[in-house]
Amino acid sequence: MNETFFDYNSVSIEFDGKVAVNSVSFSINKGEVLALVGESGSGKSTIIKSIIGILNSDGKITEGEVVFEGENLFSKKEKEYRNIRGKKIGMIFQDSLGSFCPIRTIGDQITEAVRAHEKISKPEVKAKALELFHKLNFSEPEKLWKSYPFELSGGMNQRVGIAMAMLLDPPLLLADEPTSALDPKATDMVLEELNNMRDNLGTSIIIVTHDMSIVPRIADKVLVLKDGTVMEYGKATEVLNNPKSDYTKLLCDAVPVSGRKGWNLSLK
Amino acid sequence: MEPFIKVENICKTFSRNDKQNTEVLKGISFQVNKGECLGIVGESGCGKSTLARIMLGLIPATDGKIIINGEEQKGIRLGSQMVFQNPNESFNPRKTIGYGVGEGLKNKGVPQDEIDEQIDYLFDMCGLQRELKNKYPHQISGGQCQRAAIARALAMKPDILVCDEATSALDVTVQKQVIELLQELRRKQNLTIIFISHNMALVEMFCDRAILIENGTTKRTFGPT
Repeated sequence: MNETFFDYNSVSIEFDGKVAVNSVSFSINKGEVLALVGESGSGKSTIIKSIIGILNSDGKITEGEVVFEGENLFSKKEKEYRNIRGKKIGMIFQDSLGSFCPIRTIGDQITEAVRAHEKISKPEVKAKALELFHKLNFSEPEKLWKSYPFELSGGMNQRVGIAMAMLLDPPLLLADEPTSALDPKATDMVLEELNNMRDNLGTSIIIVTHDMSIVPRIADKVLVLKDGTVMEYGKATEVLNNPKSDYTKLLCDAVPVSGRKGWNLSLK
Repeated sequence: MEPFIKVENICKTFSRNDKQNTEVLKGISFQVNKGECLGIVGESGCGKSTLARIMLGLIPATDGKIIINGEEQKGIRLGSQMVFQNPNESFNPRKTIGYGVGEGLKNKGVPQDEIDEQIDYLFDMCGLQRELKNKYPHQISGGQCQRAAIARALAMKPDILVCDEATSALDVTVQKQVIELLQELRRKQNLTIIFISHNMALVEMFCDRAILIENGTTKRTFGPT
């Protein structure tokens, strides 16, 4: 049986006395993917930020605990957290382009990220990264290594963000709206990369999204949030095929369905 | 019947230091009838937004022409308005939403009391509460801001509305509200809409016809010819 290695247990978070997350609980086993679904302001990103310890200074955790590999993350000091971020818990942002330094090359930034956690020489980082780029079918890995983020497309930046997270092989990956800004082709690539990471490295993933249509393509479990409160939580197939809460139904119904006019629109 | 918009062989090449040329559009042609909604789809970077900017006269085409209502378009045309992808960033952060919506009218020399009346009318039409007039872009939600952007475009009484990924940054439920608003506006005002998006399902649901741009050319067309 899989062991539960991550447990978000009855957590409440307030901002200036206003409840943003209201007693939310969920757990993930190794190699499992959980989708956090909800609209803007539902508390999805606050949950992600609380896990990785980057809540704004006015955000206050009022109750609950996050148990990761047997330890409560909320009791960690900032210095201890620095060893967890990247190495133990990786993060992919919605806008990878915005999360990269604009005036340094991709190679430079990957080297810095890896060397912050591992004692490894610069050529070794490069060799490891290029090997991964090949494995991920990136075209012209050497050119990519020397590129600046603005020279790459949105989808490519996002894939580089995932590759950067993969290099450190974190057991848990947090992906905050990784496909929202991407076209369908780039979305397919990013989802494929995340599925590869789960299948080949056994990575557990928490993916934040407001788009119900990507949930069945990646998630084992889904948690639907509204105004910081859990509306529904369970196996992705069950929640999607038989939603119990009206809010989940509303989210499912809001996704436009293709094929009504038989256009067969596709970028492939 | 003569089509309302005729886009003929539009080409666009961007040059960097006169040495490196990037050919983005290589002869795009299509026609749109009055009151019709045409979807333009394609990968990021395929030239969809460039085409939209050319159609509005914001940037010149390298070659080709755009004929609207029988007249060749040269420069900016007030009858064509645009709704941008990121609603918050398309408003001046230091001015209120009400000011942003009425700014075009002000520039046209419309008296302030008439502008105020128009803003109220536009806010009502787009389903925005009137008290939001005095809010700044960062104080309202993305959906409200996008409705305000549509109100701002409608203030100029356009006959063509170009929506450049106008719902991509929105939640699915808010996206549905904005689409419903656009559908209602089409019905009421017989607006011609050019709807640029990479959401295929949305384009199929909302548009009458669509074109797929790939490598700077029209790869396929969808819907009735």
